[in-house]
Formats: sequence, structure tokens, C-alpha cells
Amino acid sequence: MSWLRRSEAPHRPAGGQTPPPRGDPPSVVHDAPALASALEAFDADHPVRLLDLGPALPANLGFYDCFTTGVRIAHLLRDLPPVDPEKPDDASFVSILDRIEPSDHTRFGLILAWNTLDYLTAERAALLSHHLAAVADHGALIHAMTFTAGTIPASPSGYEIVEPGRLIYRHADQPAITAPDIPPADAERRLGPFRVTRSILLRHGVREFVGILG
Amino acid sequence: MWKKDDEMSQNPNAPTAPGAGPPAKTASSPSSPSGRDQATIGRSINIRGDVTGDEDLLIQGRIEGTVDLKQHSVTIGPEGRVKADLKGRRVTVEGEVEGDVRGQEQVVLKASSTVNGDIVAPRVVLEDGATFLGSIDMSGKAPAGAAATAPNRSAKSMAEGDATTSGKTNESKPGAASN
Repeated sequence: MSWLRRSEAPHRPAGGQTPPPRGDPPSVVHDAPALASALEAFDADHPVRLLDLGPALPANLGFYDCFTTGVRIAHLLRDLPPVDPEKPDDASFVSILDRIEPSDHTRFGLILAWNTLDYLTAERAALLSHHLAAVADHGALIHAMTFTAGTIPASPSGYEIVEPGRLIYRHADQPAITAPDIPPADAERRLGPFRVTRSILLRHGVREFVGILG
Repeated sequence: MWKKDDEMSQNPNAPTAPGAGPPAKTASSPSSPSGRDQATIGRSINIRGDVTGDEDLLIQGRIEGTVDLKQHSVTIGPEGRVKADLKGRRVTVEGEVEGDVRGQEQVVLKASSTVNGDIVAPRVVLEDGATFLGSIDMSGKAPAGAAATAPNRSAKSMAEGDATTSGKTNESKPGAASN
């Protein structure tokens, strides 16, 4: 499982496969100690149903394989509709929340919401959190991260797991916008029904949250 | 043999390959990955309609409609272009698919593939280089790997941050490298 210990960027695919013709996009490596701690609860003997709100990435799918009984990759932030202040019900956003519905009506025990808070308004984040609570088990964990300094890509990208406590944030060479710098208390409010139990400020100005439902 | 639904088989105006009679069928090939009969839709064939059948299928041409071979393997070859919802026992994509893909056992997106749609299967393999835009639902899968040996704690205790008491290490999660 040498791929589990990859730590250096840029990434090279495991298994000797030919890399894609495109160049590796810029990337930032993040330690994620709270994520590592949360993942300790799960393994092949104690599997979990996992909801990943990010895009489908090969390394992540491979990583999830060993401790899950079900996985939903929602890619929630793709085609995110713009906020229309004239439509307070935000029906266009509510409609994309269908992407987190499990197909077999079972609930999730672990939710990875890595960069969603950075790209959602407070109202949308709260709406999402309540929707997540409706499809999660009592005691389910949520892990989220926000950039508190610097810039973030104008369009959301994906975090790739290198190992349980280490992530790479890959983003194509695209315009950057100022990081939202959501105060921890605000972020905790946006996570709503999930009670934040750990909040750690990491290098690169990223703040990591772990919350639990119930 | 694969067969098309009524629209294609009974509608003489249904689009087919230029100059072709009955559309799309070629001789079965023994080269299916499963070792069973496999039909091929050749690269010059265009089909608009519903494709069903009772053997494995390799698609090198173009299909617009639906492909439903629940009990059999479906492979979209490197030159295959499918604008359809796909159902198969095992679905492998090397070409392009615009539509939802459902595999009863497995869906594999090869490095050369481009898929725009949602995937539902107990197991999904996404190779580096595959272009995929959509959601994935892997329900009812069994976790890979052998049983772990380390004792486990509740999610709640982990969330509370007492991870340093755990004897579990990364190596206690076997079978991770699956693709």
C-alpha cells in the first residue's frame, strides 16, 4: 500500500498507469489531523456508508473502498446555480440537493464536505446541512474545511486523499478569488445540526472541522 | 444475440449506417473478456433506439437511445460514442458516454473515457485520466480487504478527538489500493 504513503507533490498515479496527457494542475498539500482521527473509527470490520460532496477522483474511490459499504459521490458544486435574491426559496439550489439522496434509502455515517463551505452562502450552507442531517445516521460525522486566508480557485476543485491525514487540493490554473475567511463560529452555525467537536487551524490558512450529528 | 426494440426493427426510416439494411449487428466474437459470445456494433454503425440483448456487447459505433443488457457485459470501445442510459452487468467505458450508467456488478471508466452522467453500481473503478462529470452511487458494496486486526472505537469517540489512544495505524486498513 505504498500509495497510501505518498506525500510529495506533484501526484503520480499509482499502479504504473500512464499519466493523463494534461499536465498536473497546481496543488497544495494539507495535513488533516482531524480527518485522520475521524477515519480511525472505520475499517473493513466497521464499515460506513460514505457521502463525498466533492468530485469523483480515482485515488479517493480507491481509498474509500476498504472501509465503506456504500459510497455516494455527489459532486455537489458542479453547475452551482447563481444566487437569485428575487427567489428566496432558492429552488434551483434545492433541486441539486437531490444529488446527495442515497438510492437505497439507507443513511450515511460519514460525510466529507471538504470545500463546500467556501463556495456556498451562509443560507445555502445551512440549507445543505439540514438536508445532510436528513440523510445521515444519528452519530454521523461530517468533515469540512475552509480557507481563512489567501485565495481560492474561482471555481471549486477537488481534494485528493494521499493518506488518512493528508490531502492534496488540486486546482487547474484558473482565476483566484479571495478566501471567504468564515469565522469559526459562523462555520459552526452553517454546519447546523452537526455539532462541531474539533476545529483546527492548519497550514496555508485552512481550518478543519469535524462535527457529529446528534 | 442482441436485438433492437420495435422502433428499430420495424421502422424502415430509423437511421442506420449509410446504405445499410438491418442495422448494426456483426458476427459474434469469442473475444469477450468474459469468454462468452459477444456482439459488436462496428464503428460505421449509427443506431437511434433501444438496444437489448442476451449476450455481451462491444460498441464501437454510435448509439442514441438506451442500452439495456442487464445480465451481460457492455463495453464502449475507444471509438464508441453513446448518448444513452446504459445498463449492464459489467460496464466498461473507453469511449464517450452521455447518459446514466448502471452496472449490476461493476462499472469501469478507463483512462480514455469521457462520461457525462450518473453512475450506479456496487463497485466503480475510475482510472486516472478518465473524464467524468456526474455523481456516483455505490450501494450495497462490501468493504474490500481482509478483516482489520486493531480494536475499533466509536465514531463519536473519534469525533471527540481522543485518537491518540488508538492502536490502529494506516496499515490496519488493508486492500486500499484497488485501482
